[in-house]
Amino acid sequence: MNLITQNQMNRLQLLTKMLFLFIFILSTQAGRAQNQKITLVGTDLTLRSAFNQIEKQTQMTIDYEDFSLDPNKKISGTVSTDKLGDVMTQLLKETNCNYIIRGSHIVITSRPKISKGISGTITDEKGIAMIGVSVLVKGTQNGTITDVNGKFMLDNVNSPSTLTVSYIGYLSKSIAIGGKTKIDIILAEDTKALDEVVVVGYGTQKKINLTGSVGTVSAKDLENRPITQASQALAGLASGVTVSQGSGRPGADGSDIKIRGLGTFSGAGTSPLVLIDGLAGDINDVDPNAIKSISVLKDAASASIYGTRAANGVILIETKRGEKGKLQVSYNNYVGWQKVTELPQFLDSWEYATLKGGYTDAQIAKYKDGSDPDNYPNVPHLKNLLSTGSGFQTSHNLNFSGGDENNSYLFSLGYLDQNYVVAKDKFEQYNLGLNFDSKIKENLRLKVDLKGYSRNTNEPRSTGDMNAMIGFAVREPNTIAGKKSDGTWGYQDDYAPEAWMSSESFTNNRSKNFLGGMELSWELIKGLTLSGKAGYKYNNYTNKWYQSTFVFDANKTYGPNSLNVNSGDNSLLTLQSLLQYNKKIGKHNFTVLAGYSQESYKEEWNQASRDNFPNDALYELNAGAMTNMQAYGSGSEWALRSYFGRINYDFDGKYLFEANARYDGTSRFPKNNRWGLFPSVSAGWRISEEPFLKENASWINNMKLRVSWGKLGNQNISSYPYQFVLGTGYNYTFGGTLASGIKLAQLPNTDVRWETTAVSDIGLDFSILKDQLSMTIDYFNKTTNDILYPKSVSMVLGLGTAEYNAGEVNNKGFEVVLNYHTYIGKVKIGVSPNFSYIKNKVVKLGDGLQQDIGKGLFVGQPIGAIYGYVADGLFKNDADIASYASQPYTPYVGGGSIRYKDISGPDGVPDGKVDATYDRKVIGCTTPKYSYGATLTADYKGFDFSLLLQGLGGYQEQMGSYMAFAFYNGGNIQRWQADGAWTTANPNPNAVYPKITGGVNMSEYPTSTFFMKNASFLRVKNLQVGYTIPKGITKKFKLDNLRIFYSGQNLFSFNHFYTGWDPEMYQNTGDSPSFSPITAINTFGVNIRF
Amino acid sequence: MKNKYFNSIIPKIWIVLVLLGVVNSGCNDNLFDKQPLDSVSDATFWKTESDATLALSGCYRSRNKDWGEWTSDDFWTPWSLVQMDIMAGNGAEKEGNPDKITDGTLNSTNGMISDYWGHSYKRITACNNFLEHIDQITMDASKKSIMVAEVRTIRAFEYFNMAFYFGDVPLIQKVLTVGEANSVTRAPRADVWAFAETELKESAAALPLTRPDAENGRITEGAALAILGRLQMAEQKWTAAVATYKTIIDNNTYIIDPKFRELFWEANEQNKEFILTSQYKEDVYQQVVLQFIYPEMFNGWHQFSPYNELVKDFECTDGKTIDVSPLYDKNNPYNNRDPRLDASVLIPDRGKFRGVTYTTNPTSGDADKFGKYPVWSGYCISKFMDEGFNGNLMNYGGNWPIIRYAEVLLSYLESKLESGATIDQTLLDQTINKVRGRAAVNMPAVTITDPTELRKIVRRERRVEFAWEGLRYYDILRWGIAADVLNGTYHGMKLTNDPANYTTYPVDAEGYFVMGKTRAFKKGVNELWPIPQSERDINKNLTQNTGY
Repeated sequence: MNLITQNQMNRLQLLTKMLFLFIFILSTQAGRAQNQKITLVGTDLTLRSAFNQIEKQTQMTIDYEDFSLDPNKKISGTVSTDKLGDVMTQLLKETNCNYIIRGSHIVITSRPKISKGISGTITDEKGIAMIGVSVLVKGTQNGTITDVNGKFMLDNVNSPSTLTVSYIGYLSKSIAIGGKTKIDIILAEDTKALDEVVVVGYGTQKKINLTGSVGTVSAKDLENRPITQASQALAGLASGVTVSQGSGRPGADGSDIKIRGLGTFSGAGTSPLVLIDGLAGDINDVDPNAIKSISVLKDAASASIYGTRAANGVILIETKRGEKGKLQVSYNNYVGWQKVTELPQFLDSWEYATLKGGYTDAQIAKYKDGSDPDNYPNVPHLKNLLSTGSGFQTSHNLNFSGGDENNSYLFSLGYLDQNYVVAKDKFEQYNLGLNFDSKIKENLRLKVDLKGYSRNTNEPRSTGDMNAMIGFAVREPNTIAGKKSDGTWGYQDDYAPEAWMSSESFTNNRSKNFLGGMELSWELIKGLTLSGKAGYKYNNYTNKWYQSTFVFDANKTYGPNSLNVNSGDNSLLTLQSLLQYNKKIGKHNFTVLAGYSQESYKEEWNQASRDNFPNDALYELNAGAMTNMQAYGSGSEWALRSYFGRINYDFDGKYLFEANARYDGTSRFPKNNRWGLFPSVSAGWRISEEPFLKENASWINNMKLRVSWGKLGNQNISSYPYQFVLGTGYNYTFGGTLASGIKLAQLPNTDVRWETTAVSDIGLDFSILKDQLSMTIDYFNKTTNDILYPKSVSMVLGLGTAEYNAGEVNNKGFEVVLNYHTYIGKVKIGVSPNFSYIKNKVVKLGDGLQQDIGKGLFVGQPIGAIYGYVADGLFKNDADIASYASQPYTPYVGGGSIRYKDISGPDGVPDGKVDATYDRKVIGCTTPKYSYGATLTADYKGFDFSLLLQGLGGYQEQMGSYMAFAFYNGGNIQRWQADGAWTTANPNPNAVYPKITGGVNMSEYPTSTFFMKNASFLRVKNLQVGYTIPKGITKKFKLDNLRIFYSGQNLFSFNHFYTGWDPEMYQNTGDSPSFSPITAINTFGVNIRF
Repeated sequence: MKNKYFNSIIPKIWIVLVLLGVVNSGCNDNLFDKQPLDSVSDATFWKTESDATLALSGCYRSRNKDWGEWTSDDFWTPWSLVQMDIMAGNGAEKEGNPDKITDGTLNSTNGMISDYWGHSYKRITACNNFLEHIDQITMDASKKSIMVAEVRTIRAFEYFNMAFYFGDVPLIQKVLTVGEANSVTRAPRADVWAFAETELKESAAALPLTRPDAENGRITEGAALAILGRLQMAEQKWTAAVATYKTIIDNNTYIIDPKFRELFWEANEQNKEFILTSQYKEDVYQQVVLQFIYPEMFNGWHQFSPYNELVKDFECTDGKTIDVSPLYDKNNPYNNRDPRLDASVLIPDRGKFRGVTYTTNPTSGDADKFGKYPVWSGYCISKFMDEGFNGNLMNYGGNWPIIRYAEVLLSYLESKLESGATIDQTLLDQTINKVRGRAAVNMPAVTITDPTELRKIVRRERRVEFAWEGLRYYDILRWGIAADVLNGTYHGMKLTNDPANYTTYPVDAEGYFVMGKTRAFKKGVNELWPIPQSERDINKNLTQNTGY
């Protein structure tokens, strides 16, 4: 069976199931149930017998809350066929009881003394109508939300009753109705924000009491954005966090996240630790729709409770949970189309032939007139390839949530379908989640989180991955044909995107992920809680690469066909216990936390391949020949055990202290270096609580000074760095028979230990103008020591090397977050910009080494330094060449080649000779210094608008290979190169491109300022315009809320990079051109809630 | 109901959690006891003979375990050896990489040079590690001493080459620490060669003359001596070289195979002419050079293009060079030539493979059409194109000769000649005439004994006999003629017999395609390769060769 069809079927089945569940839940809705037809049979019926019949006919059960009802009461009058609602009303007419429908239960309740309707309008302090405010009759399920005009209406309200009115960001209000039928309510903004709670390590804390540096992002900032991977979500939203998306490849288009700069240059990496509902995972494992909040723990005070993995900061993600109340169903979707953000432009074939040389005028004319497209074509390979796909993307997300006093749940289903701009490239993801909370007893609580996804990526394939095909489409000149009229294909070596796209070759990657956790917490005595948690993360994957046989033309056939299957799984088991104690003695508040956790990880993989399949429609190994079958497999393990604790103390909410410590042991280090202690301390002073400020500067709503210091670790290196191992598989053949061989391939470091990062932070939070304007400023100084570093070793060693604790890196910087909201007329406006500046510096490389050119590391320079020659324009002519310092590369005769500066020489002064030893220096840096973002929102009546800007600045990128050099290795030429090149007619020494010659070798263009560009950019990351349909209309469809919106991602960017190339996209400067352009997307969608 | 269920089960779960979490935490430290799951620990290795055999294979194996032959640039692998002939000016490479070594632009950041350096030290380290540990193993002493001699020979071959191409190089005889590796100094070339010479002599004495079929490919006495001969010739120790080569000849273990074209095919990979080989096997340890060699019309990449300067050196069938032979027809220059021409160079409209004629017509749709790449000469390599192989060109299992007996005979003659000994017809018949007289070549016997004339003949014979086998660069460097032969304009195929009226492509007076001045060997500089800049960036003790 065709693969695509199989996928479509799977999807169809899942959609059907989702629909079925949807209908099922709808049918249990009270509204529908009431309209069900009932026929009561018999005479002289009692209530009991009538109820029995109703139970039978409706499949519902009748429960009693009011036991005063006499079931043997005879029914007076006649009841025959009618709607259930009317039947029940009729039956209970002469009783003191009423009924309500809860799910599949008809509950007999006490009849209220007086029942009436109540309506009103809810406005804010400025008198502006508030939409979506929740209004609930206290102690009942009877509730509603306000419409676009701020109006609400409730029926069947008993008297006396109290209304509870609540809205996020506003102080909740309880109002006794008394005898009124109309009531207008004004809600005050929760200006003090006193109750705002932030998720921190192993718990939550009131934001007002935080002494560490924690950035937060809420679900509201992420809603309805066409985010395909959760890692993209943080871009532009949090200060101190640098987010960049290097690839648009569906399924692999996540962003790279760095918190407070690059702390290390080691294999331990700069990725933050991510915990999803308290369990370690990959940020892209979580469905962006499921995120309730993201906390970014930036300093050591907040992160040190995660010890040896926290050096790069910690990201805590909490997923949405159910809330008590009636069942709420919400459905969100969007559909949209992607296109590449930037596309380089290449020369037409006749222009190519003219510039390249070696073509006769007659041939060039043929290219131009297009009369013989088979032999003299003009095919823009890259542009064509990047428009073969629809770019269609859609997402559907369905949530069911609800609960009662003791239990609540949220069940979610999601589907994402992402088609790339290259045909046959499709990524699909199904998500499923269930969060369940239960108060088993007054002092015993259960929390369960289950999350899973299934992913399926299909890609076309050439001799390599799709992104290699895109890379080589850059290389192919327009003079090479695509499909010819006789059905054969044009090609350059093995590169022929059109041909490969039509072949049966494919990549299919499938993975399934499960993350589940269960936590029980038991309040032993008041204030003392013991909890245990077990979590399990499991991931498995099967990747298939199929390479078909393919006939390009009579001369070239690719084959034999082959299949490569790679599958594996990995699991992480977490066990954790916590003991927490809260105590208040007078004005002294204490919280003490002690905990234990252990994690063990194991992964295994297998890979197998065969070739010579009988045809190109069989994609299982057994169908292939056994002659060239291969199998590989391996695995690895690590384990971590930790003890940790925290003490919080505050005096009168004014003076805040916190201390954390974690004691970690890891299998990755030898016994004597196995355990490490990671402490931190922090303090806060809420100046605004001091009488002198309260009395003299009451316009200051909040002002808090924070200081912190702590130590963190990074153990994220290979699993067995300290063990001497001999690699297998170094086989050889003797006498025609394979002889197994082994070899010492790596020199281990028997004394390896973790990297240690110390962070100091000083911060100020304040808000003024009744909290309309709030601001957080942080300055930090972060130093990483003992950096695990596979330092450059001379090849004379003949071995790979393990990592050594050698280096030191420092990051200093500051972060500012502003929040301002106000009204302009009746338009609510919000502006929240953030800005971070980070100065990164390599302090030490070990062994007194001042530079490691091979790794681009230089003491005193940032990580990611670019080292090369300084270009001094282009040579004008022979005389210029002769009079200038001698060059390391032979310049073209007559000028036009790059002129590199003579910086120094053996005696420390220019020596008239440009060479690699004395004339290269640090010329730039690929690590951004600035990252910034801003959110702008505006709401007016039903309309809402939001704009998210994101930018990175203060860094450079080099381009190389086919992207930067015209005619490189048989490659193409871009418009900017042709138009900007040095020519003999116009020997401009400042031309943007050197003289164009027929063939280019990489070594002629070594790393230099010439091919380096400022890569800073400012991007309109997201633009959203929505409209909430007025309640009056939505109510007709029995919906609580209906919003339609447009949302666009990556819409525009401002930059000074190479024409046609997006600076955010990752490109290799080496001779390896793989890449997948990032995309912009325009989407339209709806949010429905009922 | 619900609550009842939870009431019963939850406390149990809770107990389990607490037990796992708190109680279990105190004791068992085997949580941290994690060992590699797919590698052999050094602690348990180096015990038995089979461990020695495993480690021995690791010394022969040149490449990363997962990549087969897919990286080039060392002194053992086919792709590298063909590229060394390109450096020597026998032809051009499509991406111009080996050409760069001798076109005047060679500098210390050249990637190929640093690969030769790195790959050599990788193998040297494998050998050093073997030699450091072999004594720990209890096994048959004679088997052990043979293994040791093999590994010492492999290492000596690396050192001979390293010192030949780089001059002074670090001479490493044990597994270094990082600190040592980063501070080593260069040993004088003479010391390195003296070391290699001793190693080879001692090894030769310990090695067997021949091997059983199952051990074919393992180093023999002949191989160690043939390497020694190359070294002695490079040192111009002619008398010593004569003695070394004479030992090989007198041992009477090798022959000149009557075949020539087929000699380089997989079917004949085990034959008595091959002395030192790199060994391959389809599907399990493949070589990839065929992918590079074959023209595009036979699914190759047509990576290499022979120059006409090589073609011209093949004599006519009468044994005379083309400038004097009456058999030479300048309008049909490829007729009546040494059969080794067609067996080495694929000539358009003439060379055949699997019955199909190789064509390069620029106006047709030919895959190899002339002019498709500016560096294409029209010629392609025909040597090693294996009629018997129909598989994937990157999955070829044919062994590759590094040293053949033909080299021993020609080197013996050259050493005799250069040592000043008188040359007689008997010597010629025992050496050069055996090589050119093999049945498949059958060129007339050489009868000239005049040293000056004979020197020219021997040198020409080496060029045509060993084309594409990686020997030419060694030869022109030690003859000191690199600057002379690697300087000037190079040519491709014959495009016209009427050059005066031909305008499509540039041609010379005889109608051969002019490829331009593609080499500019810097005399006094390029005789040695530069020490890689990346190495000098790390190790300040490494000096640079003159001129870089």
